[in-house]
Amino acid sequence: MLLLSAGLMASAQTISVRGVVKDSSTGESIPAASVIVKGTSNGTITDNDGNYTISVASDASLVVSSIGYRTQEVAVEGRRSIDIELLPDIEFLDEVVVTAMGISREKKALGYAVQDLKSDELVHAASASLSSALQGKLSGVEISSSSGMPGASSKIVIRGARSLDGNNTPLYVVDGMPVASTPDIGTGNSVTGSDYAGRSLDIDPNDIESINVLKGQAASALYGMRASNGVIIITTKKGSAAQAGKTSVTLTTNYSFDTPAVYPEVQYKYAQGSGGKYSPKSSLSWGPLITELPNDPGYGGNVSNSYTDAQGIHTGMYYQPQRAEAGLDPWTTPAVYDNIKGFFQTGHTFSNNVSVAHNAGTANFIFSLGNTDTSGIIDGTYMKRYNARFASDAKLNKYFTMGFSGNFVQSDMNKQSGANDGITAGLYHVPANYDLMGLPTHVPGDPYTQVNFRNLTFNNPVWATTNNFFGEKSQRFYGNAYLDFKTEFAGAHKLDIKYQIGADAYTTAYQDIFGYGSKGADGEITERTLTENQTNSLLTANYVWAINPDLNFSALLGNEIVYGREKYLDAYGNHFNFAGWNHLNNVASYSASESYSRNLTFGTFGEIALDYKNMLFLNATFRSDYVSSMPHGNRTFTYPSASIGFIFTELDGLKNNVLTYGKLRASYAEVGQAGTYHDSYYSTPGFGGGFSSGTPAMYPTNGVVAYTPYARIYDPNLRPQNTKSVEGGIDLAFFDGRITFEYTFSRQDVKDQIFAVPMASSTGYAEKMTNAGKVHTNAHELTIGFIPVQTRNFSWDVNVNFTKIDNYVDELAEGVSSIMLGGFVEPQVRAGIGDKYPVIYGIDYVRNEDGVVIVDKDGFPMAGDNAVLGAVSPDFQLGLSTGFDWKGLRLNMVFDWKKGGRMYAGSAAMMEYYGTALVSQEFREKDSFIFDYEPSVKITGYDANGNAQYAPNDIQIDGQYAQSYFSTLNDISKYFVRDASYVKLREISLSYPIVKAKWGSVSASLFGRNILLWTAIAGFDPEASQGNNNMAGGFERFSLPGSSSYGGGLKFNF
Amino acid sequence: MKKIYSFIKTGLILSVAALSFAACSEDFMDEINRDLSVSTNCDAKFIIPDLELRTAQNIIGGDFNTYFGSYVEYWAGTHNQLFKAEKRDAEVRVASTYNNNWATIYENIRNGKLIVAKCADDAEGTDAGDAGARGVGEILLAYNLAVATDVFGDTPYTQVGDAATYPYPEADTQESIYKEVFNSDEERFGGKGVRNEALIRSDKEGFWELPCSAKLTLPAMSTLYFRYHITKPRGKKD
Repeated sequence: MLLLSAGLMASAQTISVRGVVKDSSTGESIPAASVIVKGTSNGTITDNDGNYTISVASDASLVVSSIGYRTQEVAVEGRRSIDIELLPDIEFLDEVVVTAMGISREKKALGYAVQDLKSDELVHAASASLSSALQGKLSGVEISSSSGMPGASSKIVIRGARSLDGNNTPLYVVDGMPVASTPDIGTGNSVTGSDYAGRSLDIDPNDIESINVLKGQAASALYGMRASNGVIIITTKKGSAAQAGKTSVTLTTNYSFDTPAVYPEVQYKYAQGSGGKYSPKSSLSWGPLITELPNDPGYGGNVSNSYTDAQGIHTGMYYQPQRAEAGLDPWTTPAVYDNIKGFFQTGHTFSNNVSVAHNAGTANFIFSLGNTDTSGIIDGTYMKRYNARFASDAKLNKYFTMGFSGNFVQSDMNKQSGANDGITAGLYHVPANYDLMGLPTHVPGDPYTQVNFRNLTFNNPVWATTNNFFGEKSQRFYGNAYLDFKTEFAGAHKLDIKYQIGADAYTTAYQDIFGYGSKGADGEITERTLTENQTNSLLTANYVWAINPDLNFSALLGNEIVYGREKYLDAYGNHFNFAGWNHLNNVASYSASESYSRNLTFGTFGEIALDYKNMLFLNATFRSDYVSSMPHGNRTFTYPSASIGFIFTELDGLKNNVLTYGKLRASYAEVGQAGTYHDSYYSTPGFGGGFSSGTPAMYPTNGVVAYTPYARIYDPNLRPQNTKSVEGGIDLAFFDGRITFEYTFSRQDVKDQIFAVPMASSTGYAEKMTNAGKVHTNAHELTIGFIPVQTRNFSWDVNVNFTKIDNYVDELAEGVSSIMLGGFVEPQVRAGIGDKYPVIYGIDYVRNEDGVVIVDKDGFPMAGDNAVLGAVSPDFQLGLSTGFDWKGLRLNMVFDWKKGGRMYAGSAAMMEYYGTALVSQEFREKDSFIFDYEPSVKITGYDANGNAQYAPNDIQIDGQYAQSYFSTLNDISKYFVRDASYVKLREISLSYPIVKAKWGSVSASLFGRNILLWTAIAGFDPEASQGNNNMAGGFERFSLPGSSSYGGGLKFNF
Repeated sequence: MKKIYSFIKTGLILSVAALSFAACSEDFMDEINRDLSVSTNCDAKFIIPDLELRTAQNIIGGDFNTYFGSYVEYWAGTHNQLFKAEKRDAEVRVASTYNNNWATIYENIRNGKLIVAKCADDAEGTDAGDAGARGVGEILLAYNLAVATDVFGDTPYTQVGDAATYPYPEADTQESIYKEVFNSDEERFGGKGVRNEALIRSDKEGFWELPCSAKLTLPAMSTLYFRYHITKPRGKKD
């Protein structure tokens, strides 16, 4: 009997099968793939080269699987050599994302919206700044860069603003530790001076493995009060990415050149002057035809005037006084100069990154060095950044793991000024007959007395690039170390206790210099030093209990202590004693100030999660914060959240092959945001603003210093502001993930807004920091993924991100109808009751009762009252990224379409007033034109009751009145407020793996960034605007322009 | 099971203990939050320099001066704001034009009242009874108030300075203000107290080829402010 059965068993003989497991799309071998004999527990895993060897019955089957690939069954059929190719699994069902506090979770288990990006999606176009690398790729997140200058600040807001005038940026967490990301110096009203960079600039996109965006309050609830604006979780590359036992070296190098994204359209026909007459010091370009300059009565060389009488007739030439000032022959033939294009130069960005990763199995490390060297499109602007990073993990024994991650960044940049002090203020108005780049910028022998086409309210732009500096130098270290204890007990119980301590320390030195001779005066200098130190201690205990095969329970309890210290020193001096030494030691009057502040947050948090049959997921959290910055007795706050996810396609009745995954999710969360309370205090006041230029007076004066009560008082009953958010959404996947669809709707209600409520100036104070105001936001986010083609040689994928965010200000404070966020007294960007947030406010046209513009008897519109002129936020924003892969040649494109939203287009409209715009020339040459920017009416008479009678406006304005027409429009801010829609090609890149060998691989790429395809404001990049605070994006007035980049790179892998 | 319960219990006890430890250190948190860069009180002698300088810089020589000079054709504006003022354009009628000066003049009035209050004989603090500082404060307060009423008409005074109690100070009538700024020859300024008690009437007696004149008693080395007094009560402005 036994012999018979042995014989039966022996008939299916056991053979040794070997082979290689490969990725069917790339042909690369798959290490650590699992090869199991079907129906048994007999199996093995492939080695680092994908090879396996297994003993199996010759009639059995092998089941081959690996994460990210579809499991495949292969019948042995007596073969001894079987190579298997696995298809990549596009089903995202098992995708793991990093959620709050570094806990990794399966995406399907989450009851709230998250979106993640992997490292290759970030580095396609070699963007040096993390914010630019994210544009167009996330839904619900608005990102815009303030200009194309090196180191320009960026605005990032997730699901709209929660704070009227406070911080709306999300929390950045790098490897589990929150780090500083915002600019430390705000641009204030943003009408003078230069931009200041945000600290998110220190993060090199090349170091990032993945980014997870926690968009709503439910997702970020564990972070407490710092995360009411959402969280961006960054996980950096680790040594474990290298193959076990191997060292991998990656070298990336990129070079790109940068140009302004678009040039304004200028006219080249009419010369400097006003009213058709040449006036050599005029700021306007409404002069005569350039070709007619030799006939100008005052300066022409063909006619008799004071110059020709003194120096003789110069036929075909004219007298230009600036040439005489510069020591050249003042008589010149009229010529046309392309001043704006001539002024901007081609910028260059050169970036390199080398990283070495070693994986020794139980321990691994990665070390990387990077540098970015950018010179900007304006002469003298640059940014240099050096990054060094080391991270290591080591498994000490069965229970303990420890690790360390440290980053060191050094950056150095020089910028230029915008707005009232700006370079472009002078540049955009240079008349076409003035040779800006060719003429000397100063008188002979004195480099500090400027020669300019106009008076020195605005500097000669070329002179400014060599005499005015706006530098920032920063050194930063951030990193953390952790110890992790993991154990399992009683079979189904797991416990993970982790303690992490981290530090973020940086010092930034700022230097803003207006050199001797700037604006015809003797200059000023501001030196600032900011030292910031933050220590973060995090203890978490995570417990998982598999109660039964259908039910899993997990609980998290943790404590976080955050201690921050900031020291700030500010020294200001003006009136340099003599030229040539723009230094703080050379000023006639000084003032200095210093501040030191600390804050401490002690937080406790916990979470409970239940999942049933991989189908129903329940989650609840709490966070309790004890913060030092709130008033005595008002310091402890606790917030809850709850979320639920239901994968309805797991129900037996609903399983099908078309809709392979469907999840409904809903969550509710409450989060607070703390403010800062101080006892009322005295301070030394300052002088400035109004008609005065710079600082007209300063303490100490004659050795006397003054102290007066500070203009802001604090409410001793300050409470944290409270955001209640409700979020619901649906995730669907069709055909195993060929088509994915995620939609989320969220509604946030913020009450008890903490902001500096403007007080009636007649109290003598300016503002009170208190709770007031209500804001609500409705946000729609839609992310669609679609893989139309996926074959062995060719694949095409498309991703669409749609965002619609509507922010409304429901209430402010009693007696307050608006808060100014930036700009001038008029026009300004403000938060107004009942309006969307924010809006532009200023002088509107005179309108009739029906809101239609009324023109005067000459057909000119008239300046009326102050009113809300437009809302800044767009109707929607759509990002489309698509990629084509043909045998390894990969083409990626990211498009970004912003529709709607208005902006104060100061530069564009001012150019029309000054006469340098092409529009000015066109109107001047028309026989007649009519005011038609908006429907308008004229007054035909008055009825018996004195009411005006209107008829549609048909009053033609003669072309010769164009200057007067634009001058009238210049007084009406409404004319400046324009549609800021645009379509941009954010990134386009083409990459190809040139070499693939045993020793490694080399791939090459070409890329382009920030290419402006269409803009509603002709000639200007609508993202370039003033301010690095809440007004960013709405107000453009002599802002530095945006830039496009084109370049290529190489990547070596060993 | 037991292990889990005891673990959870320990965890809760630890966290509650940690929380309560932190809770009884509100004073510790106060100390952390204290802004070391500022002082919560200063003597009147430090407020005076700003009252002096700001009155001179921004009130006497400020936007009021600049715009009014154009309105009375003391000078003619040829560009931008002053040209618009010359043409009596939009800016003349819009509240935003004088906003900065409105705020500044009230900063001065607040500071002036603060100096006077600190230096009162019965005040608390080191400035009590400082007649010299008080005198300077009163004079500059009077000057700023005079300019405020000249420019704005009925304007707040009594409720200015105590922002917590009066966040929206009400306007006082010009009459009550003018009584305050009346005479620098009062005894409290060290003068003889010579006053013009009765209402001054102007009459048709010509003087220096001007059609009307009024007779005044002027104490030597004094400053007096007079207001045009009408017998009919003025209607309320809307």
